[in-house]
Amino acid sequence: MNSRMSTKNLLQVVVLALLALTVLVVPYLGNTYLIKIVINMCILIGLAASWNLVGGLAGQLSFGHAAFFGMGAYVLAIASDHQIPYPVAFLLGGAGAVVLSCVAYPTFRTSGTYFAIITIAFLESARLLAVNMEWVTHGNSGYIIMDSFRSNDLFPYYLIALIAALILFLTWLIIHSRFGLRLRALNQDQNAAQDLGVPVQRYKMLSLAISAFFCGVLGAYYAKYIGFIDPESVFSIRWSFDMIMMSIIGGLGTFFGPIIGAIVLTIMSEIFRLTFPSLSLLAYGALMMAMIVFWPSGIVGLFERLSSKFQNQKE
Amino acid sequence: MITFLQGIVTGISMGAIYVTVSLGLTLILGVMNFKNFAHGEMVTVGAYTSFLLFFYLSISPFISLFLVVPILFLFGVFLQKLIVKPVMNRSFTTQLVLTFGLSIFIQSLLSFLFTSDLKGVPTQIPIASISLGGIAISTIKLINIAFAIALVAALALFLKKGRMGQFMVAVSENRQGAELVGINVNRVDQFAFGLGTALAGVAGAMLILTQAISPFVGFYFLLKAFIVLVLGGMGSIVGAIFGGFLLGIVESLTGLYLTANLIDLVGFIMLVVVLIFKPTGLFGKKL
Repeated sequence: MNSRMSTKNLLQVVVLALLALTVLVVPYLGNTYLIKIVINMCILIGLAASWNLVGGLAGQLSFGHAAFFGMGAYVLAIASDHQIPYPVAFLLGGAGAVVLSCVAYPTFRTSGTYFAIITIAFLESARLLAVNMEWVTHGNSGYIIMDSFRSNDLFPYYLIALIAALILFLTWLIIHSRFGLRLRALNQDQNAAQDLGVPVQRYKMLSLAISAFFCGVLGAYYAKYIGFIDPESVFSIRWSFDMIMMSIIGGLGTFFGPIIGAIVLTIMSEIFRLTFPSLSLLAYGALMMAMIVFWPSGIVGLFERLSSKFQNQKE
Repeated sequence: MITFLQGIVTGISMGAIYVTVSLGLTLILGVMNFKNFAHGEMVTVGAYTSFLLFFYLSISPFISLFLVVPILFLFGVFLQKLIVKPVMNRSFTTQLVLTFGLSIFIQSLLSFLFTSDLKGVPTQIPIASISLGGIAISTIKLINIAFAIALVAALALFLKKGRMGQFMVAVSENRQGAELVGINVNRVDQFAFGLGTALAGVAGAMLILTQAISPFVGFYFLLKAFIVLVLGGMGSIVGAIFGGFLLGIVESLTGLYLTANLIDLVGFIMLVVVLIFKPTGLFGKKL
C-alpha cells in the first residue's frame, strides 16, 4: 500500500514538474505558435479544474459553466471601457460570475436529467440575453476590448500561467479539505450525506460559487487576451463540453484528472487542426463516446488500476 | 383579434412539430428509461433524409414524410444495437456523455458531408393560403398539423391495440414483470428506440417543409422536446401533446407581441418555473 502511494505520488510530481518545465522553457524557444498553445492550455486547465469541483467532486454534471466564463469576459469588456485597471477587472469578472451563480442556485433543486437540461437552458438564456441586451453588450456585433494584451508580449503568458497555478493550488486545497471530502460524500449518496449532517444544498452552492469565480476570472483573462468577444464565442456550449471532456479524459473528481485531460485535449486538437481540420469535431465526438464507454474513470483511473494490478502481481 | 388568432394558428403548426419530436423522446424515456440527448440530431437526420431524397431521387418532400418513417426506424434500431444497448445498465453520467458525444458526432458528420450551409426543399404546393374566417393559413402548415394529428392518433391506437404497442406499455409499467411473463424486452427496446427515432425524423421532414435547415438545427429541438416533457410531465403522452402545443402557441404569441429574438428565452423561462415549482410537470403521469 505504502509503496503504491509513493509510485502514484511520484507520477504526480513528475507530471507537475514536466508541466512547470514546459511553461518555463517555452518562452525561450521564441516560437509564438507554441506560446499561444500554452496560453490556451493554461486557460483550459483552469476551466477544467474549476468545473471539476462541481461536476466531478460534487457530481453535479453542469453544462452551464460557459455562462460564468462568458459573464467574466463581458464584465471585463465593460470594465475596460470605464478605464478600470485590469487586475481589478479580473476580480470583478469573477464576482460577476458569482452573482450569476446565485441566480443559478434554484437549479440545484433538480438532479440528473433535469439538472443537465436546466443548466443548458441557463447557458442559452445567458447567451440570448447577451445577444438582446445591445445597450450593454453591443449584441451580435460583438465587443472590442480597449487596450487588450499585445500578443507579442510575454507578460500575458506568465500571467495566465500564474492564474492557472493559483487555481490549481486552491482546488488542491479544496479537494483535500473537509469541505472536499463532504462534497465527495454527497456525490456518492446525497441522502446519506444529508443524514450525517452535511448541509447538502449549501455545500453544492458554495462549490458552484467558487467554481464560477474561477471561470469568471478566466473569462475575463480570455477577453483581455483575445481583444474581441461576442455572445457566440464566449457563451458557446463548446466551453462547457470542453470542461466536461477534459475532466472525463483525465478522471472525474480527481485533482490530476483535469490537468492531464487539458494537456491531452490541447495536444490532440492541435494535431487534428494541423492534419484534418474538417474532421476535428468529428473525432472530438467519437473520442467523447469512446472515453466514457471504455475508460469511464479516465487516465488517472486507468493508471490507478494498472498500478494496483502491478502491486498484486508483486505480492 | 385576427392577428391573435393568426398567432395561435402559427403556434399550433410549430407545436405540431414539437409534439412529434417530444412523443419520440417520451416513448424512449418511458419504455427504456434512457435519456437520449442525441434525440435532436434525429430531427436533423430526418430533415436531411427528406432533402437527400429530393435532391438525388427527386422525390417530393411530401412523399418523404412517409418514407422517412421506415428509414429512420431502421436507423434507430441500428443505433440501439450499436450504442444504446451496451450502456443500458451503465450510470446516468455515461449515458448522458455518450449521447452528447453522439450528437456532436452526427452534427459534425453532416457538416463534413454536406457543408454547414442551409438546406431547403422546394414545395410545389402553392404557399397560397386557405382563408378561414379572415385567418390566412398556409397549406403547408395545415398539412403539418394534420399529419401530426394523424401520427398521434395512430400511435395511440398502436399502443392500445397493437401487439408490440401493448408490450411497450407493459415494459414501461414494469420492466422485470414484463420479462417474467416472457416478453422479449430487448426486442421491445429496439422497437421503441426505432419508433422514437422515426417520430423525431418525421418531425424533421415536417420542419424542412417550412424552413431551411443546417446540421445544428437539432440541438434546439432537443431542448424544446425536454421543455415539452417537463411541461407535460415525463413519460406522459397526453402531457407531451399538451406541452407541445402550449410551447408552440406561447412562442408564437411572444414573437407576435414582444420580439422575435426572445422566442427561445420564453421556453427556458417556462422550463425553469415548472421545474422549480411543480417538478412533476402539469400532467405527472406514466405512459
